[in-house]
Amino acid sequence: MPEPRLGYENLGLGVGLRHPHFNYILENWPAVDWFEIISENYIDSQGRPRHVLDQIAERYPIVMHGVSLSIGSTDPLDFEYLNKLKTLSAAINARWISDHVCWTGVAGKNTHDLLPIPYNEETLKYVAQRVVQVQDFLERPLVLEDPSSYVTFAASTMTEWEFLTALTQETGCGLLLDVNNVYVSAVNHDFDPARYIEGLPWESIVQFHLAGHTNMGDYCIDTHDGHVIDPVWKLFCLAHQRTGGVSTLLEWDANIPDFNTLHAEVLKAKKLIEGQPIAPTADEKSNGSQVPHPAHRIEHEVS
Amino acid sequence: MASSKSHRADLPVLQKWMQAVITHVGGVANGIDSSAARQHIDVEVANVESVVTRSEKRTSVERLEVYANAYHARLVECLKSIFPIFAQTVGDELFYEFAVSYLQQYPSTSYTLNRLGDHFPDFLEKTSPNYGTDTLAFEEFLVGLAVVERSIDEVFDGPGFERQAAVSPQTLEGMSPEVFWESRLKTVPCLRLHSFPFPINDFITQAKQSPDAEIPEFQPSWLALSRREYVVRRIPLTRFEYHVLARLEGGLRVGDAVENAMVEVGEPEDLPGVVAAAFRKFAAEQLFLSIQPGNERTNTW
Repeated sequence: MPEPRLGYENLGLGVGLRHPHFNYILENWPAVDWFEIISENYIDSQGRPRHVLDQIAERYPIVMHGVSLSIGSTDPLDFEYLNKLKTLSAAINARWISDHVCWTGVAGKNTHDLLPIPYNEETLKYVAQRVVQVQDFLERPLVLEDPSSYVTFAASTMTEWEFLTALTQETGCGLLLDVNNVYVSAVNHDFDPARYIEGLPWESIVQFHLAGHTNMGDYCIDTHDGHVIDPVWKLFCLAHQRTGGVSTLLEWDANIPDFNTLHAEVLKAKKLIEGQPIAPTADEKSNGSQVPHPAHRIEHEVS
Repeated sequence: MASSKSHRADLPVLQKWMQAVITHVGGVANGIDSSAARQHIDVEVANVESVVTRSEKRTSVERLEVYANAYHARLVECLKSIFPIFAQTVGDELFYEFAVSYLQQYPSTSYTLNRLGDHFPDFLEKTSPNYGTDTLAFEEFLVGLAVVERSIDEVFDGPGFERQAAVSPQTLEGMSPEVFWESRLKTVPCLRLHSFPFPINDFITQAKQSPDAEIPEFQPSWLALSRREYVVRRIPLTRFEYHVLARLEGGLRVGDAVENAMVEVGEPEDLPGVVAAAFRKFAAEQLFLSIQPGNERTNTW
C-alpha cells in the first residue's frame, strides 16, 4: 500500500454527491466509500443542502471540490470565498479541498466555466505564487485538477503535463488527475493521452476523477452525462498502475441516473484494479449535451 | 492591419480578450471584431491563430465557439432552474431572449450560481414597456412571477428555524387578550411577504399542474413564503393579514400592527373574530419564532 500522498489517504471509490440522490442516500445509507461535494453548493447553504450534507458527513468521508477558486485568474484571490471554504471544511471534516488549474473570469466577472491558461514560465510563476497563498490561508495542501479544454494558446511554451509537474514541484500541491479530461483534451489538442499520464509526477497524484463525455465527431465535450468509455478506463488502469492507486471518484452531472447505476459505474474501477474484465461500454455518446460541466446548482423545493 | 505573428500577450490582457470574445452575444467572430475584445488584443478573425492555435481538425474560431456556446447555454439553463414557472410561461424562445439580454446587463460577479438571478425581477420591471406608468399588463404579471420564484429560491437555501420551536397556536390562545395586544412577535427568518396586482400564487399552483395554465386577469393578491422542514411553503394571505404581518415583521406590537393594518384596509366586520382567525393561521403556519409578552393594557377592540 503506498504512503498517503501529502497526508491524504486513499479513500477508495466514491461518487459525487448530487441532489437527486439526497433522499436515496438518507434512506438507504449505501455502501459507497466516500462522497465529493461541489463546494459552492454548500458554503453558503442554510437550507436543505447543508442539512443533508451534515448528516452524510457524519457517516462518510467528504472531499470538497470547487469550481470558482479561479487560481489562474489575474483578478485578486477572493479571501472571503476562501474563508467560507475553510469554515465548511472544518465543520464537515473535509479530507481535502480541490479545484482546477484554470480561470473562471476576470475584471470581476464569473463565466462559471473552467477556462484554460497558457502554459509558460510566466503563468507558472504567477499561478504558483497564488497556490502558495491559498495553501497558507487554508493551512493545508491544495489539490488541483487538470481541466478539460477546447483551445490552446500560441503563448504556450510547455505541455500541460509539464506545467502541472512544475507546479507541484514549486508549491507542493497535490494533483487530482481527471483521466476523462486527459482523454477529452487529447482528442481536442491532438496529443497522446498515455504520454500525458506517463509525464506526470505520480507521487503527487492524490485523486482520480472519472466521467463520461460527448463525442462531437472532430472534438469531444466534457459533459459528465454518461458512462465512462473504454479508452478512459484504459487510461485509468495506466494511472492506477503508475500511482499504486489513489482515491477514485465518478462525476455524473447531467442526465443523472439512479444512485445504484451511478455507484455501479464507479465499482467497475474495483474490478479493473483486481484484474477482472468489465462489460464493454456502448459506443461513445454523440448526441448528448453540448454544454461542458460545470453547471452545478441545487434546485429549490417548494410545496 | 493586425499582424499574423504570434501574440505573446500578458495573461491579464489575454484573459480580458478571451472573456470579451466568448461572452459576446453575437458569437465568436463578432466577439473578436468587437471593440471590447480589440481594446485588449487587436487581432482580426483571419489572424486569430496568432492567439488561439488551431487543432488538426478545427479552426481557432471553432474551438473558441465551444466556450461561447457553453457560456450562454449554461447560464440560461441556470436561470431557468431559478425561474422554472416563468420560463414555462413565456416559452423557451422568449425566455432565452430575456435571459441573454439580462446576462449582458448583469453578468455574474459571484462565485456561486445561486446569485445569478438576483437582479432578474428588477431587470424585467425596468425593461417593461409599461415601466414608470400605471399600466398593469402581461409584463407586470411576469415581473410578479419572477419576484416570487426569486424569493422561493432565497427562502429555500437561506436561514430557517428548523432547529428551533415556533410559537404554537396554543401558546397564543393561552395569553390574555390584554397581554397579547401589547406583545411583540418575532417572525421566522425565512418569512417573505409579497403583494401583487395579479393572482400570482394561484397561477403558480395551476402552472405546476398544467403547462397551459391561463394567464390571469388583474386581481390583487397577497402571499407569504416560509419554510418548514427545509421545504418552501406558499401561504396565501388576505389583504388584512398581509398588512398585519408586515407590521409585526417591522417590530410593532400586536395592537399597533392591527390598528395600522386597519388604517390601510379599513376595519373588517367582526374585528375580534378576524384577528383571532388571522393569528391562529399565522401560528399554525409557524410564522413566529418567539413572543415578547407586553404589559397589560386595555385593548381597543
